[in-house]
Amino acid sequence: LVDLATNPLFEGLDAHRVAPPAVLVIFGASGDLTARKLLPALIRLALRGGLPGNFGVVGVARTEMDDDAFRRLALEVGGGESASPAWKELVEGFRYIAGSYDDPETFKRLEHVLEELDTTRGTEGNRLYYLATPPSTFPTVVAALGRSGLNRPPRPGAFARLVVEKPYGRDLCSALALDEAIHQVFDEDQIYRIDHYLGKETVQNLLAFRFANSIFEPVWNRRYVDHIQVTAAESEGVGHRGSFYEEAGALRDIVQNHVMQVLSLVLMEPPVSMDADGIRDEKVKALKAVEVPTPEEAVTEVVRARYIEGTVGGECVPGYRQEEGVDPRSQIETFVAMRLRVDDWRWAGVPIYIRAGKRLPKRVTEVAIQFKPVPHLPFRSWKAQDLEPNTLLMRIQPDEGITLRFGAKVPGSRFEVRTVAMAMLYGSAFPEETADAYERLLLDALIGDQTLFIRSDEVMQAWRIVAPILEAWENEDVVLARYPAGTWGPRDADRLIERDGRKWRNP
Amino acid sequence: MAQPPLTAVRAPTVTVLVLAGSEAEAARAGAAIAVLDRWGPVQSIVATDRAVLRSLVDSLARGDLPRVLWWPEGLPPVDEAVLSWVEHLIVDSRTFSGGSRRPDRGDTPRPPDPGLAGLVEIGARLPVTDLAWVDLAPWRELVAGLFDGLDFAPFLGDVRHVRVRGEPSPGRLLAGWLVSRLGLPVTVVEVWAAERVSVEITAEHDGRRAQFSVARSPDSSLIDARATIAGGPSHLRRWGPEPLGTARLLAQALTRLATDPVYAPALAAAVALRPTRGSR
Repeated sequence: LVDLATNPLFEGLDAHRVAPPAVLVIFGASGDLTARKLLPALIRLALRGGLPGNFGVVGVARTEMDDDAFRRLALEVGGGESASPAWKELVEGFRYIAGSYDDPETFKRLEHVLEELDTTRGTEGNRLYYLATPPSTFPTVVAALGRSGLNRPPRPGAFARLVVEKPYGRDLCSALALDEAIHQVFDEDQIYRIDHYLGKETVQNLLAFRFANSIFEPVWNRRYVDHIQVTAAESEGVGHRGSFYEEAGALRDIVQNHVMQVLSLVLMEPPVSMDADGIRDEKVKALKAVEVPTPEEAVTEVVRARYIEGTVGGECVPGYRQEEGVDPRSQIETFVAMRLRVDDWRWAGVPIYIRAGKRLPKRVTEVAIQFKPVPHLPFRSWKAQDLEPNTLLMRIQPDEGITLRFGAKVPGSRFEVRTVAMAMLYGSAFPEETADAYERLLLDALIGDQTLFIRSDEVMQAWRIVAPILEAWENEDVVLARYPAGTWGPRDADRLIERDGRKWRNP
Repeated sequence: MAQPPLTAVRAPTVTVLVLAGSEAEAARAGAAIAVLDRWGPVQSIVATDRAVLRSLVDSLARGDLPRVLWWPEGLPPVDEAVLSWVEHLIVDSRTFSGGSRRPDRGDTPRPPDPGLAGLVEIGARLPVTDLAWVDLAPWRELVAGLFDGLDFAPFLGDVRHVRVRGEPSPGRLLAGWLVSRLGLPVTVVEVWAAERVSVEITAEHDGRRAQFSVARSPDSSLIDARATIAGGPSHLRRWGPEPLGTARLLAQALTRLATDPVYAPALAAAVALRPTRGSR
């Protein structure tokens, strides 16, 4: 007898994941995120064979457009006439609904189109709703989905899932309010909060690196680790996102989400299982262990700054206040550096230094685990003068990989020791083309794997950590330092780490 | 302080042995391995003479790496001595020709290969990877995907007829795979000789008939996978998987040096199928 619950023809084919029959409903289908990220991710999925034949896309947005215009837009993103036939075939089935998110008629028409696709394409009542709209519209769209009953699948065994883009709130209070609004309509196991950093192979490799190797985990603790540095640097300015950035700043845009997610993977205990909740339970525990800065520490342990005009890559660039869409008197930070403490058995006493910013000398995101020096160096000091502490670098972007820096004897008759690097570069070790983060996460959401999506309590824990800093910045007269574009931030950031006898590792 | 240079050293993970039937075959194998190196470094030892190969293995092969015998054309004889030096065998059943491979210029002589049945015999002694099977993965995915979902899955339970077209080995392997995975009687399966692979499946459920097909589009290099339930939904999935050359197939095979639990039953079923019919 054939076991129909698990298609026996898929056995042995687990190397390639394919989405189930479904309709992807994109709210904000005429917007920037759809054109820049979602449609390209769909194109790559289609070309890799990651989408089934019984798959549909419905775009919903306020912009007046019909099905054909939406298809033309999607085709254009895929290269126009030279788009691949696989993409052309998929796009032919795209549908579009123009309407306001607070108009019940919009959702009636959506329901009708979804039923039609179920009947004609066999999409089986499975829906993935993607909120690619401005955050202010999230509650409106979610409430309307609830009122129209689209938050529940139309048949047993089907699914209705919701993908929510960041930012998930502006602070702890607004995040809680948004969470409550969404939970009134969707259960937690239907909600997929996306942080594209988690879709990056190197971030996921943190789990493999830590828990698939026996040699690193024994030294992954306060006995051996001196401190941890997380750097998320961008060489670009705010570009045309000036007005968005004015509402966000580096702390909200990078640290509260991306950096905290990476940090939680570095700090977490081994999970009991590698399933979604097994990993997310440990991430939450790790974030809970990060000490919330006191109001005083929120001032003394954190540096905020904005870039002024300078030179990046040999090119003169304007300061932040001169960027398009930015208030000339803006008090928004484009750089933040901070020191955090972790209050648990594994990491007590190990400082975490975080640095994130725009218009820094290069685009690089990395985690540096710096180990303690050996208790006694049995060489004359001049023979080991170039020796750095052992450092394990996990490069998340670009040139993804892992590098271990350690001391080695310099060839020759004298016994000199110098730091060398042993590197695993992803591009060399694994020649396969890796999936783009959105492609990976979109497929995960369609398949129903929440591992790389952020659970509600993770979001709240991350906000809890940065909340006192935001409050201090609002209530206190905290200095907004300045740094020339193309430098590694203000001098205050150097002082922050140097007063502990350490220094930033400049990638 | 100067940063030490980043150097990525790619160490080989496997030793590939090739006992080529001719200098020309050795050259082709060497070229494929050179390309393969882009996907993952290997230590390779190619020779046209068994004694020379033995000598090279003894003096050059790394003791810490698994050894794989790649037999580029045909099937090694069951009593081939080199099989006892290795942990894994890689063949390509598309090159099985009932003995077309002839030794030339006095190189290693071999008897005619016995085809898929011989592979069953060797496979009982040694893990085997068949590059023809690796190359069929996209086809198997497309066929499997036709039955994905609540509407289409029930039709897997009552397959009435299967027609597979293709070259002898891939065609029979696909048919054997369907027979073994779905527990089909061989009487419902036809295999026809054809240049291009295609699969047609007729199935019934709840009084409704459905047609499933996977075939190359007539006008392009894409593969069309189509499912149609009479009076119900239908869909077409069009996919253009990148054609994999020998080197890529080898790279994939070397990445997963383990027994494929799906392949052995598919191969056994393929051998048990009725003879392939003439082209149609």
